[in-house]
Amino acid sequence: MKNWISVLALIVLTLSSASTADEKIAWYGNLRDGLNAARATGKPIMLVSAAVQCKGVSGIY
Amino acid sequence: MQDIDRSFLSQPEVVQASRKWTCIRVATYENAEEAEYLQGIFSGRSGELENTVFAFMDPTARKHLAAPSRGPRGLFSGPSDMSSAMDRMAQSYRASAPVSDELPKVESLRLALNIAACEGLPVVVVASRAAEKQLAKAAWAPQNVGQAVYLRAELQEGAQAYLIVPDKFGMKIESSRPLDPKVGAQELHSLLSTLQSGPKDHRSHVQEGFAKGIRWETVVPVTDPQARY
Repeated sequence: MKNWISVLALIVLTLSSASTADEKIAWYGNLRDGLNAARATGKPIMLVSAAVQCKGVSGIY
Repeated sequence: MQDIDRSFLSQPEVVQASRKWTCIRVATYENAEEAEYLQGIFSGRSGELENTVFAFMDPTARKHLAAPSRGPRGLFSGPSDMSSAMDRMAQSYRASAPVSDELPKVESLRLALNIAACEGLPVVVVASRAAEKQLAKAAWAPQNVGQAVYLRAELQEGAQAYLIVPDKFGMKIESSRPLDPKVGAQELHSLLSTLQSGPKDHRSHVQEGFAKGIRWETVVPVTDPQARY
């Protein structure tokens, strides 16, 4: 019985940590919508900009 | 930027701290108006817009809460330091619930495919404002935020939403399937999870791109002195 509880606890722990690791930042993908959302919600702004190409090759920041 | 993602922006403590913030991530050089705005926020020694810009601002975007820079590395010693600073800065603002019936969309399919390829995410396309509203509840569920790139565009007759996976260079569609915009949060999470891909090796990706003749034309000229090609 103790073994089963340990196994269950391990599964729950693994699932919960996997779920946390999987969470991501909710990015607004354009400036206008993001700035409007900030004004509407009163949340401060974290702005990040990145080029979506390297040396002209796309698909990489 | 991939390094900033790995070291800071994908770390659980930073993701958690970000929930008190409006997070905006735009593509440099892909919109003239945005490029002008970004250059006004930060330009390096050259005085030109550089590949990356990083800033914290109040909700009106009129006041900087920290010195704008190329990225968090110069400001914070690590993700814990960054998340603590974000929590401190956010304390001054009494925020209401997020806008929940709009998706965080990008401007075009071309850009959506490239951003999705950069981030290893699928693209979700909705055909109408009605479909966007229907999908928004599931899309903003905690397990689904940030798990796809969203776009509103015309679709084949009858389809209200589509799931699209780009090729690794974000230049074309690799696969697609219809999506019911009334999908539940957990089902959407399962669908999005299976369509994501892991991080790329920067050097080998660029080399493969050269070998295959991949060439991305930016909307405005690249002005970063470190990004010569």
